[in-house]
Amino acid sequence: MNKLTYSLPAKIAAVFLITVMLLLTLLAGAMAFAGVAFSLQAGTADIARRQVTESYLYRYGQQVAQDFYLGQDLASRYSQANYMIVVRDTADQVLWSNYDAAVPVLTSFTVRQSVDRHPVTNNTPQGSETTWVAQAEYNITLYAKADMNRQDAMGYLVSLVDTSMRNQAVFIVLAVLGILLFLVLLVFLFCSAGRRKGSEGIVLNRADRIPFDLFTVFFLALAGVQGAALSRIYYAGEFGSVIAILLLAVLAIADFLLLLWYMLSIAARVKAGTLLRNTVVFWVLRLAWRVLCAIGRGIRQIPWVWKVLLVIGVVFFANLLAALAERAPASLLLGLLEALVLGPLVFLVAVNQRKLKLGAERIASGDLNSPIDTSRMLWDFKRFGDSLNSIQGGLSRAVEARMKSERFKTELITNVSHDIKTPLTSIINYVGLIKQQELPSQTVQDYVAVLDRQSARLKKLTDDLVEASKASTGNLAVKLEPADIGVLLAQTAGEYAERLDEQSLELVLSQPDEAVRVLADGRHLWRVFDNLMSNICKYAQPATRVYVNLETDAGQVRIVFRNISRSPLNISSEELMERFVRGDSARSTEGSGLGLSIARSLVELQQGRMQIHIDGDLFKTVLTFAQLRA
Amino acid sequence: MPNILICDDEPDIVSALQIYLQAEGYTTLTARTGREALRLAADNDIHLILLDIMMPEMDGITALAKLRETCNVPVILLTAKSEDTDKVLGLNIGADDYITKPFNPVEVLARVKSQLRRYLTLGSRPAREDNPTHYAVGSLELDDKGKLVLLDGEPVSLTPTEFEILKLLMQHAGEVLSPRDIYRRVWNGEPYGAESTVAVHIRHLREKIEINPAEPRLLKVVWAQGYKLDGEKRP
Repeated sequence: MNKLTYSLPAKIAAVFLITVMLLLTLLAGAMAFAGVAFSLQAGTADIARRQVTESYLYRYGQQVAQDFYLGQDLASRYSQANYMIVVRDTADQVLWSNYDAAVPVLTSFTVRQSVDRHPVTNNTPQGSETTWVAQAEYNITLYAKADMNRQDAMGYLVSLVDTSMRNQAVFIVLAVLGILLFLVLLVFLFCSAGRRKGSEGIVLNRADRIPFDLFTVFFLALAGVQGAALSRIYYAGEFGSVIAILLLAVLAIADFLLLLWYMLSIAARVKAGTLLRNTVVFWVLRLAWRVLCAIGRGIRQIPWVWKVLLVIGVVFFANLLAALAERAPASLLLGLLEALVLGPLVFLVAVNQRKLKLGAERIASGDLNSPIDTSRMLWDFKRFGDSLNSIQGGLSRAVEARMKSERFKTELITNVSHDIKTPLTSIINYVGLIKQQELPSQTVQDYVAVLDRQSARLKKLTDDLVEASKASTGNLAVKLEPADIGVLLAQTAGEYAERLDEQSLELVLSQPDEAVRVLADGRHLWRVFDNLMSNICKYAQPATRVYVNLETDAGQVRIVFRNISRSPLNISSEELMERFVRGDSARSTEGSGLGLSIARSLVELQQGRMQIHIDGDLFKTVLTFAQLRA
Repeated sequence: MPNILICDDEPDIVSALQIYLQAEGYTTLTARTGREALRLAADNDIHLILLDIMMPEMDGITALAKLRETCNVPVILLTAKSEDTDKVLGLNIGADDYITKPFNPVEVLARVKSQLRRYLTLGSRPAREDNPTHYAVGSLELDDKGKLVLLDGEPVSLTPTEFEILKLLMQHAGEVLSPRDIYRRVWNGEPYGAESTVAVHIRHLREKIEINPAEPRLLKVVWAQGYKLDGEKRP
């Protein structure tokens, strides 16, 4: 079925079939209708036959009377007729008869027929002469034969009645089948509308691309022309002739085909979604809508004050026109006065409103240092402007206080760390000196080793603290330059080659062939990688693989670090990025607990994102940056 | 032996440094303020000054600026300020090196020795004749013919690969070379993901020619770009 809808021969065959089916179905339908009508009206076939016969006998009676009166040879003229004739005069004397009692009779009908004055043309050897014949009156009885031939209309009709009533069920079935087949073909044609072999989707042919309303008008015009032609033929009295009937039949078929074409075109248009779109009306409406939109945009773009002035001007002008039209000098004067007083007032209000609007927009966009000039504002507007200014002042003070406190915090941490560093220097130096001495026992040597280790850790902690504070407050110079992540990964791998080897960790790098660049500060980015790799060396399960993947996806660069944690990570990824939080609750290993926090702050300072995913023992860090296109 | 002036307001640090330096055979003088340091420097024959920045009366930066008006003795700044801006300021005013607190005494000794060598031994060395097989950048010298590298006049032992990398970097002193460039020129082939090999060799090289490899002064890492040898090419 699906393939057939794309085949042109199938479509042509379907159109041909549907036409034939239409004709046959109409025929079967007519027969079925006749059968049903007869049986409803008459009940049995016999009664129906009798009724039909009687109506014809009445008509034939008139003809017989005429012929008899004119002295025609009834015997030869009516020898083949389906009825027998008895002609009587008004006194019931039989004047002529061919009644045969042996012939079975269906029914009889008697009609009293008078013959009017009538011109009669007698053909004589001398020429023709016309005389008017006087009136006569006869009782004509016609006996319809039970067994009829098809020489006249009555015979035809009776046989039709017989056929239709006898085969009523067959015709009904045929008609229903015909309708069904017709519908199937119609559905097939509707399905195949717009399909074409060798191309997917809906293909509109040239006629389907004609705007739908024009298309419809074309068909309506065609119908109109046809109607006019038919009425011309009708009034000319040409109906009834064989040629006219043939013509009408051909016309009917042509009409049906045109209608089919029209409907199929609608189907194709609906499928392609262009039924309403592809109409002249739609185009006109769309154009009108666009023009209206453009006008609306234009109006919106007119500055507020000008808009107000425009409205005032229009109202004033309308008033003026109305006053002039009414020829009322008083209202003209009033209008002028109104314009002179109200105009400037409304203008002033509009100007004030504009100032307030601009001021509020400035505050909304974060400009907290340019108050609204309320010195030349009107009453309530001035108060409103002053309120806005005090909101701005409050906001500005709050922001300033916040910034001050941040700055103070960073400064405090920096100063404290400087102050810690001086005693720390002494400690480190003297520990070094102790190490150079002959130490009395192994125990003392162990103690000195602890001092050495812990002082080194204290040094790292103070450095990290300052850095974390600066990174989180953004108090750090960030110089964004194109940075080649592939190079940085290679450098990182080189820097960490030995430390990874010590833990028997195997680093698996994967990156695209072409260079991947982002906008970043190389030193800060190295610090991020440094912190992450240092964590991996500290916390990864020895003798496992560490994966570092560099991926690009839709303008994003993702750097993914994956490793297997040595100890279970029963901590959320968000918590891990907090300051001083470490995965190992025992805090036995080296490190400040600031590494991830610093890394995240630094990544964010470079407009990137850092996420941590923990899945069982799999520890995954994802850095995301916007890719820099070459 | 060279005379070294130690200037810090923290007596514990001063005496610790004294112990380390005297153990190496240096004569030491001490000062507690910048003013005192200036006076001592004027009165004595000083060969090197270790100068703290944050001190009472006169801070290290001011003292350094004053000192530079009259003499060019090597000055190493000892500072608790680890900001880049502080280091840059100190170097611009005229310091020859800087060490951040808390420092490792071993590093201080190494830097002191390096500065003294440059000041006493190498500074007066006459310029060599133009020689394409001989390169000199900062305190580094490389002789391609003799496969010899000298750092402050002392020979450094390098593997052949490290030697080639250093030669390339010295030829392009001041330029940033990406790991790929270095691989192509030293290995004569495409790296195909082997750039980290270069990074490993550079790291070893740094450990050999830098006093503190974590804070290189010569062979610098330009993160996400490449590597460069800092300094001017000398004849």
